[in-house]
Amino acid sequence: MNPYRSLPKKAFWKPAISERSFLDIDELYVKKFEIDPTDRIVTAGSCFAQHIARKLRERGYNYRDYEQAPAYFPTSKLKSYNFGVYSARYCNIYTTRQLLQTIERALGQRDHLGQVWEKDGGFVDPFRPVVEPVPYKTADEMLAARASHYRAVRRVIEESDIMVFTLGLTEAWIDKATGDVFPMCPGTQGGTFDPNAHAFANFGFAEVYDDLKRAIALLKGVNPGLKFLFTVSPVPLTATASDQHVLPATVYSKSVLRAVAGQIYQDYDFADYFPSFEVVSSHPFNGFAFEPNKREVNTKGVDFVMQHFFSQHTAAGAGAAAVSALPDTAGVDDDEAVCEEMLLEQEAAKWR
Amino acid sequence: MALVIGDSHARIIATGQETLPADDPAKAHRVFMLAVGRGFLKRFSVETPNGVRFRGGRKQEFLLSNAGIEDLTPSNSPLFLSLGFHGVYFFHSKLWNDYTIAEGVTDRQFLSQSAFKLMATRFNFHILSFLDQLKAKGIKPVIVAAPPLPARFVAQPKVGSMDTAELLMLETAYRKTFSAALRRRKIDIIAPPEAALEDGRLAARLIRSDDQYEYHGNADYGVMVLRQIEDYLANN
Repeated sequence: MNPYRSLPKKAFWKPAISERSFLDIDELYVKKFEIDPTDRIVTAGSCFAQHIARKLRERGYNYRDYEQAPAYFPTSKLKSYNFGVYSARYCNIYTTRQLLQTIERALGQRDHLGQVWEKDGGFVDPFRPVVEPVPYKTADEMLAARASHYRAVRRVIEESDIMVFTLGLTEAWIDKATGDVFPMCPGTQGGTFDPNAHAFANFGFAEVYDDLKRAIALLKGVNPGLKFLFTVSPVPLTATASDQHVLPATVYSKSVLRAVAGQIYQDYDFADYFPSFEVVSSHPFNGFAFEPNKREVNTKGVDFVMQHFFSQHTAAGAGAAAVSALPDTAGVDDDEAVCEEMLLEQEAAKWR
Repeated sequence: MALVIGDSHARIIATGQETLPADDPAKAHRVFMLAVGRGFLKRFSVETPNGVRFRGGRKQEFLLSNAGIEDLTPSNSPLFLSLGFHGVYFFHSKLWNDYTIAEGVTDRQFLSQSAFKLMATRFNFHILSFLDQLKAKGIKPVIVAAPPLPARFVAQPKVGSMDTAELLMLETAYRKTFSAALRRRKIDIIAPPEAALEDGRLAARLIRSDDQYEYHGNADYGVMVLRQIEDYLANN
């Protein structure tokens, strides 16, 4: 007699993996809590969260968008203006430090008025430099847009039941004086890189874990009933500034994020973890979910991942009826996730 | 003889024409309204082998009965159109309960100038498509701009918490956006006559007295616009 004798098949590699087609691998995810069709769900995080948001909308979950496009806004421009991509127009929130600071600003606990980047004769928001494809005409216009955005983020915090957050990166660029993190390196999408003012950071486990715990504490302080569903983005780094080869840098980054997500899962009964990262990235799945560039996740991959999610969250009562009840599905009309990192790739192409 | 057609402001020009003596040269023009402004917010025209034809509503019927033609053709150039500048439907949209373009407003979602331009242009998408169709068929359109909103109208905005300053900002941005769309298409604009404006607003003496049309000009204003059209014909 030993403890392994009573374990289910899924606990053993051979029956759970080796003896199956990867398409038949199941029981990868067991929900920690129910998601009721009436639960207000919001999303934030890295690129992959966009896929989750879209699938939740399609399934008729009560997905909320607190910063929708206005009537008459052209559908073809929704995505480039970051309408309907997440529950507010924060663009990608790659790091937990960025998440924490976004929450702090939305709650009025962090000053941000001094952060303005110039670009092409106009101004962009350093905290979401690609939220619109055209720079704001004036700094005041940019600040008005930012203030409006943080009012929407405040609603995301206050008026949601479940927050889906995808952890994306550990690397970031920081303003040395203020500690503000930027989603993109100064000088790439606005502003000017200054080695005296800006520093590269590659957050380790302790920092990522601490930032996420603080973010959770802030959110729960405002909305005590809020639950979390964490995922780790399987999308590799476009580029690393860490001196490492981009592959080990990616594995390091994802390992830290996965470990933090696991620790948070263990810490809190209100925090669930969905293993989309494992389904896309781990070797039993042979990389089938990746596009030929081995970076972007293809549509079939997203469907396959979400199949595992919806096998647990059947959302009785969701579906068409719930979709029609949604007041705020501005929606985006194509499958390609908005990923500002692609802009970095575009920049990189110029350097080569 | 010119064809002057379009939204309710075309009707105002017609009321002016009706007051002219029978021997006035401007009596020769065919001036009539095709539909109210919202009648141009859905697709309303289609290209035909000969030119462009209206579809939906009674526009085609009005064209036939008032001008005796089925298609707009190059022989109708320059074609005077009162379209696009009549933005009351846009300013009165419920969307302004939730959105603003004013930087100081904090109870609604702020829209950048760039986002606003896209939505204002999209609002007039079918009018702009119609103009593109006309140009593609060799017909020269000329836009006769509706007058700016009268001061008494802007004094009492009708949507949510919008105040006069915001409505004026909205109107300015809207007219600027539509003007830019016309400029890109190299379409001439006949602006409201300077003499009809006081502080940039339609002068009180030229506002139609009927309360139901508190943003329209009266017959005197219509005559002033007709004279502008005649000047345009004489100089082009």
